[in-house]
Amino acid sequence: MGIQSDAKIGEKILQTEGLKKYFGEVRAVDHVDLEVSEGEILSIIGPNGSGKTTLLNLISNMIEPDAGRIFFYGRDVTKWPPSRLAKMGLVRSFQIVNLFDGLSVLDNMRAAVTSKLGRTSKPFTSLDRDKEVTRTSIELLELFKLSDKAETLAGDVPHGDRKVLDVALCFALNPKLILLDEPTSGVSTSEKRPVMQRIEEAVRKGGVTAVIVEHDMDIVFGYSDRIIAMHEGKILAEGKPQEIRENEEVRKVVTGGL
Amino acid sequence: MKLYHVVALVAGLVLASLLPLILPKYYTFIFAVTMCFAIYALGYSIILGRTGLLSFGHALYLGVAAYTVAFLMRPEMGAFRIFSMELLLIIAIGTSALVGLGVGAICIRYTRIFFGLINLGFVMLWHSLLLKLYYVTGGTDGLPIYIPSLFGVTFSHEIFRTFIFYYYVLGIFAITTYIMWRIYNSPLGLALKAIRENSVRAEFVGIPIGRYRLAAYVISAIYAGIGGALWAPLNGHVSPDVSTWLTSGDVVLMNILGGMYTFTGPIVGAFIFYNLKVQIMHFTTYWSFILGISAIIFVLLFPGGVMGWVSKVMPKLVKKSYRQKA
Amino acid sequence: MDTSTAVIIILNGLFYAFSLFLISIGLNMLYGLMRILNIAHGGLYAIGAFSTWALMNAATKAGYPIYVLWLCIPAGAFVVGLIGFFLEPTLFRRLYKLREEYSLLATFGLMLVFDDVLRMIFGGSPLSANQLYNWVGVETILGNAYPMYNFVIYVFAASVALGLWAFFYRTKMGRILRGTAQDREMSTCLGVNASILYTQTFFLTIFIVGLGGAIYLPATSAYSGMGFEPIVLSFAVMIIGGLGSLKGALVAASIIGLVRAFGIALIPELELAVVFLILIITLIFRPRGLFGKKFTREEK
Repeated sequence: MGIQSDAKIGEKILQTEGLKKYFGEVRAVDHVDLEVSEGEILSIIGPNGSGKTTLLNLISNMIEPDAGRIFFYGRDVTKWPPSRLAKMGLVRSFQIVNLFDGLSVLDNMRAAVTSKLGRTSKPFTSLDRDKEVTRTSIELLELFKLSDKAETLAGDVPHGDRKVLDVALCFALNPKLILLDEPTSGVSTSEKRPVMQRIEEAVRKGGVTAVIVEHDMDIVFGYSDRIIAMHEGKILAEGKPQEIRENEEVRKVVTGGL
Repeated sequence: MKLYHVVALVAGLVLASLLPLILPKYYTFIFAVTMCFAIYALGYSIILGRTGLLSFGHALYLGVAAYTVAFLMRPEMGAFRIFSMELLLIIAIGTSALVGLGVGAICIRYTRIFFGLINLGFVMLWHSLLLKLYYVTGGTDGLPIYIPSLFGVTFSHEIFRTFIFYYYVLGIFAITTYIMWRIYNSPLGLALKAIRENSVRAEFVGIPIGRYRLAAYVISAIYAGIGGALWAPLNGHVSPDVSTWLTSGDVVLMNILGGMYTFTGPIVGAFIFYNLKVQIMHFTTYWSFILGISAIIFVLLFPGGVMGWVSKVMPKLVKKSYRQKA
Repeated sequence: MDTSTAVIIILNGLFYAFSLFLISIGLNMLYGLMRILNIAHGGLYAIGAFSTWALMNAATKAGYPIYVLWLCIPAGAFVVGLIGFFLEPTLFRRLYKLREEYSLLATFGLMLVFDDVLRMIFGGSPLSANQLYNWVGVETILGNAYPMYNFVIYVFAASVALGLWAFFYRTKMGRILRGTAQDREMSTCLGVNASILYTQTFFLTIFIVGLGGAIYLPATSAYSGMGFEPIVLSFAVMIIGGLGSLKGALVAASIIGLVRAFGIALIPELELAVVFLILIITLIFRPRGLFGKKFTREEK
């Protein structure tokens, strides 16, 4: 399945304007202006409580901002329901793995694929006989090296594979932009690279733009085109990995002398 | 579907068709009523077992359909009295679907337990309206239901209730079961399962959860309506007792008893539940007590229900739409 | 309608409202903390009423003076507490881990059991024990006679409300309870022992509802099926007032009580239907209730 994006390289596909989210007194996200360019892998780093996850939740419309707007391909999507965003190509994975645990891995994928193909509204056609759905689902599982686990229940699969499946479901939707919330969290150190590798392959192959929230600095510096560092709800610094690595303030607050 | 499924189905249908010829008339009547409740329970399973929504007020649709039938047959309707069962069914389906759409649209916005309670509120509202507006609904006395015509043919009271209508109900039962089977195995069925498993994830995979939940709800309302419309002429009479929260709880228990996560579970549950109820009520008026204890026992010890147990013992025979308990 | 009638109707409304408050606050706490919707709470209220009746009846027959009857009220509540003491480890503790739908069905079954057992023991006719009610007597308010026992109830309900407020906002355990109800994951991180908390909350709610049933008995009567109506309305209170809100429970209960009282006085046909209508309107326009928190996506 070819994942292609229509925009030219370098076009700004996601923009936020003055995004704010307060939880009572706490300014989780405090006036964030962000731009994401087509085809890049952008990482967001920051200490706990800096607002990274909240920002991700805002962009994926999981929560509503108190102020500010979000633009996707130039359209104001601030009030859209997540299902509509997903259909338009803005998808996300979850830090705490969010799968259909009671369904098989294959069914997890088929659910996403039928949704993408717009077939879910058909109540009388037989799912098993739909070759396109099955073929597409299996292809995707192969892309992420999950095919051997196809019949296993998602709840029974090892953690690393679950994280990958979480991301894989996003790809079923032919995404233009994928938000990855700590894709390697909870994964054992030896597994981290392979997991990230599978993800990066799929991203680059498909020309998908990715925004990653990560704690593991190795991963961040190893895979990003650009990095944004956050602190106390605001953007502290942004730039290429080397610039960020050398940035004094970022070191102090985030990387702790890495 | 495997070969033995088909064989079992055919055998079942044949057996069911022969039943009125072998058993006493009383049992034919009972089984016909049971099938009505089986349709009700099967329809309910699409929201409970499939989509994960517990409604505590589904008896509303039984009542709406039954009272619709009663209304259309009233002598006051004069020349507009409808006796054709086919027409009555269609209109009853229509009213159930409409009410289901209206009520569902309101309930769907709410979270899990509250969803069930809002439905409860509606059935209680309906119940109290049935009681208070007695000049229209007959109050506690209810309304009589006359013998409808089947495909234009009118039968005598006796033959209708204990013979002919059984086949009519059997036919509709078979059709509705087949339709539900198709829905379960369709992409919509998978989407509903996904919503049940993880509604947040379903949304982020592009599934419009609100709309689909509403669709499942309306389907269940229609099935309840069909069950209610068929039950009415069998019962000969409809009263506000048909729509209480007790009868709403009945269908939940039928589903859990039979097995919430299997296709045949609700049907089996309806059969066991209703027949048990009839037998037990011969002995004691404390049916609620027995019902209550059974509910507790099933919840604590046999959450998978009868068919859940069967699927563990004979996994090839019964496919369980498995779910880990959260 | 003149003022004096209106005042009486308001008092009647509040009278009913407080019974709803006493039941629904327990529901609210149980659901907010343990995600168990205890339909059987109505049954516990009924048990409180019936036990108190039995005690008062026995006491009167035995010829005890009237002040002993006052003691029957906490004694009746004690009976309910005893039942709760028995039920918690056997039933409720197992419900904490289940899916909400299952625990709902279990409490529904329990309610049915309570109702039938009460019917088995006490029969189907209403039972009353008006001795205290008559003893406290009647006073004239704005030209209408009004039973003074009702004020005993008002004082009691107000004390419960105040006590709960103090408990939730001033004591350490109360604050933990509130915090846990709002964020269970966080609380386990902070080292709160959930199951002890659950058990203590459970007993608190049992006690309140049992006492409620007991104290209302002298003013009303104990009858078969008496637990069902207040339970459904208590759900309405919980929804209209908002989950986890003490203020909400009071306000919502008052609204429903007053609407019902005025409804009965002005348009008797519609009575309960009006309450359900309010419930539905609330759900359309403000699903979280008056004082509840907005639902996050996960809770849908």
